[in-house]
Amino acid sequence: MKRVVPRVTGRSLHSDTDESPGWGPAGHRPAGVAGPALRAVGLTRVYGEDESLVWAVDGVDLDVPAGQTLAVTGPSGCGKSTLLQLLGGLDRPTEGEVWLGGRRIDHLGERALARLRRRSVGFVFQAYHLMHELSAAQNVELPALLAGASPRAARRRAAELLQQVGLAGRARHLPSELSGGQRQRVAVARALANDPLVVLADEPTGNLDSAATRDILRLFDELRAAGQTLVMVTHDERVAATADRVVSMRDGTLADDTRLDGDGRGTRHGHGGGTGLGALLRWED
Amino acid sequence: MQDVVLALLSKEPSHGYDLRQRLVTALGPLGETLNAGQIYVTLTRLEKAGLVVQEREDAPMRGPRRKVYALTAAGQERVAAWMAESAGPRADVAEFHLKLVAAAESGLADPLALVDARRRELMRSLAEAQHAALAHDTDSEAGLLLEGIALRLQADLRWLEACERAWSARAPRGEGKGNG
Amino acid sequence: MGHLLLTWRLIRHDVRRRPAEALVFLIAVALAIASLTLGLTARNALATAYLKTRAATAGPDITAITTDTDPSGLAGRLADTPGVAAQADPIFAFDTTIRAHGRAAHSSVEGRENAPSAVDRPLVTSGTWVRPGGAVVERGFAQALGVRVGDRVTIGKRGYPVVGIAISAATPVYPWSDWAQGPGPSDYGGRIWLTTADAHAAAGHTPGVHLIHLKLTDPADPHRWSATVFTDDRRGDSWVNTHNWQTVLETDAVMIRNMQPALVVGGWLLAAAALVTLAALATARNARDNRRAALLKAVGAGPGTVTAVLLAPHLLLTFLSTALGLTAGTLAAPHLIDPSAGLLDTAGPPDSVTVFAAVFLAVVVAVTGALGPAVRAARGSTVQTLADPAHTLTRHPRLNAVTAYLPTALLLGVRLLARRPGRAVLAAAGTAATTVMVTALLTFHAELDATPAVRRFGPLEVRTDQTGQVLLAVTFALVALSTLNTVLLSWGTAVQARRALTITRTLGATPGQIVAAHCVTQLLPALPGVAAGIPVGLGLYWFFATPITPPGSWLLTAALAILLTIAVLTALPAWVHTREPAGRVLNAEAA
Repeated sequence: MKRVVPRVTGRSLHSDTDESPGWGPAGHRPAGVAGPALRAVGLTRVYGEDESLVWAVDGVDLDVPAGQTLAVTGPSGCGKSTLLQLLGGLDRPTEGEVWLGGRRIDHLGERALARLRRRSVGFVFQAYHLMHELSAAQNVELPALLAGASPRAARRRAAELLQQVGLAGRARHLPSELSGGQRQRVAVARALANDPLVVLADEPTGNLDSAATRDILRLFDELRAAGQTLVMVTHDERVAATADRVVSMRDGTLADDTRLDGDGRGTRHGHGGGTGLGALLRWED
Repeated sequence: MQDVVLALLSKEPSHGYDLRQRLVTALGPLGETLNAGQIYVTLTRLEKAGLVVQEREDAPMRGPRRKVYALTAAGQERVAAWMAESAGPRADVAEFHLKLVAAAESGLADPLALVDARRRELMRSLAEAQHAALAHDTDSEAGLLLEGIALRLQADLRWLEACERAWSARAPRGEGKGNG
Repeated sequence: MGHLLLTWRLIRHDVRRRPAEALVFLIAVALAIASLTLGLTARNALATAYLKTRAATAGPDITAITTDTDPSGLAGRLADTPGVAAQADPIFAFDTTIRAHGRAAHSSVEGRENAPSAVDRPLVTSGTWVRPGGAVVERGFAQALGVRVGDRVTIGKRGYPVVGIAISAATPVYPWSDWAQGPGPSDYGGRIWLTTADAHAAAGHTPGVHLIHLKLTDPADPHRWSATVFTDDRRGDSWVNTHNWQTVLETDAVMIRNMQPALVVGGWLLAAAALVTLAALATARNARDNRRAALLKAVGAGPGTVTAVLLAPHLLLTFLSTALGLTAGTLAAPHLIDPSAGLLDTAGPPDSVTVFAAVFLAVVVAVTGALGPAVRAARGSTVQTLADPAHTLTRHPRLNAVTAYLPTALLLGVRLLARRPGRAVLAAAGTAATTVMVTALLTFHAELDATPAVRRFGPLEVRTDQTGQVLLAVTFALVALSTLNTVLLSWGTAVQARRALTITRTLGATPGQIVAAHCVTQLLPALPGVAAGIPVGLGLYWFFATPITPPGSWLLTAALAILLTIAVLTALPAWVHTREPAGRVLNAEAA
């Protein structure tokens, strides 16, 4: 028997945005981006054939306003990684639309998608996916070089980003000479190399211990403060809790949508217990 | 306890022995300490408060006679209010568990909706705890406390996942388009 | 016993699961061995064929040729000469141009009796022996002319029906069998038998010669006999020439003189190509072997057992393919060696040198291809091999710094290449081997083109045709093997670089850039391969044959064709790879 969750329609998922017009393009993202940074409409991805069809993503409607950090949670196999790949143009949907920065991308060819990823999307993966044979700095340079930046500009940008993620001293190290947390920070720096419209992170802390996880989360916090749109997929509630908004996925559909930032609080199930850490501390009565 | 007993009565009038049986089933080993006397004390108090009323007395073939209680209108209101109110930051596992059991039993609320609401609540608390924790050094006293709070909230959230799985398997509903 | 069972199970599993891999291995090695065997046994096979034919036709140890119109004097003196064991009656022969099927050819026409002669009894292989009005044509000559029993040949002004085809070891095979030309330089020509009466009639006033075939008591050294015993006083006043059987054999061997280096060098080049194939296969096997080694060690097998178990399938396959190659080479030798059909076909067992060379080659191939990985896998720590079958990577900071200035495709390609220098060497070696052979083939054709028309016409073609066919066959085999190598290598690169390229794709590299990067990884090492292959091919050709250089445009076209083929073969798997959305590949990688 398939799990039936309280039906949250596409409309209601967008409602948060609708209710709080303070969100959206008014954020810190580049001007000229009208509407959400990312939008999915009826997004569906089916794998397999005939009998063994799997709806990895099944009719997902989602708007991510510019400047928002969104966490997608759910048990493994719920389709959250596939959703992220669809949003980033790494995979093409069976049905539905993906809009990135006001441009529809789901029907684009591989080449156009590649160009788009290059400019507008930064990926961070659980397994880091750094190029083994390139040093930290060279890994960070690569997207800029692919995008046609001059080697000098790419190098400067890489140095800047490594500084930002606190790895300026490790620029010449190979990934194999870095700890997991450091590798992931290099990956974050690489994702930012072309100043992307959105950063998509797939279980960014999945392979990290708690200290390294803190480093990455702090880094994400800084990105958030700088107005970077960020979508991360995670099964770790503590990681998800650092986002502005959490959507949970079940069996390929969005089951729940919770605003965790100030703007959204109280628009839903407000409780009498008060808000803020004070409420937590009153446990100690 | 009063709220739980009221909720269990909202489905149909019942007597103390039955109520105890139901609670023991829901609580498992935790309910072993619950004796029939405690139930009767609670029922008496509720009756005094005008929330329940003794409907009749059953005379079974063997054993003592049993008083069958039913909810009053005030009792109904109290149960509805309890169901609607959030568990609050202090709610512990057993309490919320009984609320889910009572909700399912009485049909007054959807356990899954309760789980969702609870999760949002906990998620918000965790968000605050996490933001605070990130701002503090883990080695500091405050950081240590925040770490503990965050871990407990995380544990509660994980338990909610289990609740969601169990209740959705137990109470399939025909609503929605059939997947989800 | 246990080890044997285990090894056997693994081999069976391998062959059943990957029959193509085993087959490719088998074919690659067998091809190399067969070519080498052919080259090495050519000489031997020829000698065997000659000796066999000689025995079957009572071939002479030495033949005396005189222009004296009356040979009886010489015959009488020879009869008195010591050391002569047997002597045939003098045979009248004259040199003429015969016609058959509209073609003209030089030939000696011999007059023979119906009764078998004491020495040189041509073996009739089809039809009958000479009869009045009927001609018998030597088999090699008949084949060159395209003449069969029942056809007609024109000798002088008269046509004769061909009543039989025969072989003889008295003279060298066609086109060196015309011994009726008398003093002076001789021309290429064939051999035809008529009855003595017909021969004299056909000759008319044409001066002829008389051949006296002899068997000596010491057949081993006819040269000494003609120098010391058959002295001038015994030869008489007329012109007398002698040909001994060793000269005949030597002349026959001219036939294969150009072919042999093509086969031997080709054999080694094929071996080199086979080595590349095996190495390319080994990369595919490595991961599996590593895992296998680790599992074996985890259950308590020692390094020796592990090495043995990993090597055994290789050795078994090598042994099989060596046997196959040797057999194929030996069986093919007589057909390749004597297509002029002047000698009896023989398939003798290969001599020890050939067997040794073949086994040596096979061992080199097997050891280079398999021993390294097997020993490495056996030696490495269990946990390490279980956990990480990946190779250690070398860093190339300077290279990477330099490539930053290259276009993206080149940048990716060079960095990928730097990742697997071994592959680059393999690709270069494979390409070089092919280029060597293609160059040799081109040079051969250039020489053919440069040969004056006079020499090209006629019997020379027999020889050049054969060499050309052998060159073509070896080249074809090499090209086939190299194609396979390129596919294997580029597929291997595609598989190994999958992760890196997919990452690059997530960073925004277009499919075009990915395909181009792949091509760069194969083309860059192929360039030096081609560059080295052309001079080496020329050098080898010059060393064994004529120093002649084919036109530059030919070489350029060949080089470009080779590079283009490689590019296409490489682009295909890469293109297939980019068809899949990057996300899916990443998922597969993670799993």
